[in-house]
Amino acid sequence: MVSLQKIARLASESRFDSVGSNGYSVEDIDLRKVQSLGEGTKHDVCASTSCNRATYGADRIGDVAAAGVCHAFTPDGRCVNLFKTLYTNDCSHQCRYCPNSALSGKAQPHSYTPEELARITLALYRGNYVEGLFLSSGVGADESKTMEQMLEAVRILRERHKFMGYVHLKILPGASLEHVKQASELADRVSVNVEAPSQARMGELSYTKDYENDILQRQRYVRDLVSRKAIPSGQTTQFVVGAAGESDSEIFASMMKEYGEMKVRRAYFSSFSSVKGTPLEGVTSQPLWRENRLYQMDWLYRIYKMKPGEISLAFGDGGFLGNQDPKVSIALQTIQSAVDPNEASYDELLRVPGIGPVSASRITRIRKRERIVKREQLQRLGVVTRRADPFISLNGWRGTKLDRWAP
Amino acid sequence: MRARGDFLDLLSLHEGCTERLLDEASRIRPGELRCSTDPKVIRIRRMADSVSGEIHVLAGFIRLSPIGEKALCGYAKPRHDIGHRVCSRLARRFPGTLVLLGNNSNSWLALYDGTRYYHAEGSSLNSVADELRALLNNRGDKSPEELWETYYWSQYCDERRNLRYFHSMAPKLYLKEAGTRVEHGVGRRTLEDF
Repeated sequence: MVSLQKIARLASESRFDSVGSNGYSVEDIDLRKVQSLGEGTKHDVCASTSCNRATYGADRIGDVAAAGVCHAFTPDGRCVNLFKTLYTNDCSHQCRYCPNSALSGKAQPHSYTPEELARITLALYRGNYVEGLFLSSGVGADESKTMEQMLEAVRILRERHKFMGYVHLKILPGASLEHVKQASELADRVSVNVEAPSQARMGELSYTKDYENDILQRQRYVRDLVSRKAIPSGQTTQFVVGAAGESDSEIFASMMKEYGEMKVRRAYFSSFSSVKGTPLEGVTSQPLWRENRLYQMDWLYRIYKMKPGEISLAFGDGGFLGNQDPKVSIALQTIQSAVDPNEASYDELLRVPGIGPVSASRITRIRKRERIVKREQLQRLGVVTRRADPFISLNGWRGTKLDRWAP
Repeated sequence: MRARGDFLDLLSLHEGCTERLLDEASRIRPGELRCSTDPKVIRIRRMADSVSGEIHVLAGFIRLSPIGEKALCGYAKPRHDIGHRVCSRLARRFPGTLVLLGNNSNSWLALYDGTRYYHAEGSSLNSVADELRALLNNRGDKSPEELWETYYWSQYCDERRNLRYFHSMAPKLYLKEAGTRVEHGVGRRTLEDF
């Protein structure tokens, strides 16, 4: 512990200042532009800022955290942790669901300059409002030129201002390999949104995007760079759910391809919601629970390590998930007799609704020392007994019976 | 094998921690700490989790305003004794910049020079901030609050409005502890505002 005078003197003697007195100034920023370009990304749901890159030394601003940090939540409960914005909302692509597309009736296109974007990011970062930058964009008139400007903005942050906070950069459809390489050197995470599960579905959403060349080929570029450990937090992707009438099983099959072939870290889902002024304005928006069920399915694959064949049991007629937890749907079809927590394997426990990886692990540890005989013991281990009761038995006794197990 | 040191450190910062509790906690084995069904062990585990949770949340929710170029200050009124922890975490982001956090009765200062941390404590946030302004010979800089407010509302999808979920993710308690202004208005806005 030092005195206030000494700590103030140490701060005033510190010579490091890569930003300068004007570097954080945002007084001349047009707030209508901030709003318009911010709104352009509000349906982009990737919110992770988890990163294990090391940051050290005095000549830098910012760092990253392995746990990720949420700085705010909007009234819809979604996390705001990055300055998530478009570079420009001018776009020559004709995606029928998108408010930024050439087909939408947007009033006036806006665009940042690289310096402006860097200044806003630094000002928000210094105020501890955000964890870093998430930069997406319309393609403008020419995707190469727009991508170049996006890279320049990040370059100003990284090289001129020594900004070491988190940066997520979108790869524009059709971006060159050289630009993808530059993005991988500057960003913590890059992403290419597949939007639709197949070439045919993409054809229904956009007349101008080539699914194979504009999207999948760019993902392969990124995958190859990730395999050389060039991008700390890898690549992710996002699906627009239901805009082209696709089923959940189609999305699931495409998601498996993304995890398997493209090695994405995460797949994100955004339920289609019809936007005024777009050609799909009159199409019914998809229910939000559909997005939620797809995330649960994704969780079963990534965290519970269930096999795709097992997960696909959750799909009903027509390849759609019902509005029920997929884990419960699968359990109802696969658990043939009540599970005894004292005898079941870790994998068997994990398949019981209400038991997750942490509680399953706790059960397998504790039962070496003591026998589990009461529901209260399970509750103390983190089991949601209200959900698990129909599937487990303690001392040969079951809390609630499924119809098919009734005598 | 004893419980881990960082666990005991966290526990010691809890508002309800006593010497006796720390002594009991030091005798718990790490494996037992993770999976015991003993209510006392569960209580101790939850106390440490509550401290680490508050550090994590406040490090994100606290807003910093510049005092010139060399210092940042923000409001914080944590339940647990974590002022220095949060202050250090924020100071690490801005080497060479002094970070001051506090409220009407306490304040904490931290400076990270790239290799080590310096800490200080003071009385109320306002009085220490005034002292700092005088010591650093600095004018007050403008906070980007208006910019933030514009950006924050640009991210909101009205069709997804779910205040119950919002309050579960951003409990009022934490918003109050961090003194956040913009998010405090959530719930008081009506559809007409959009």
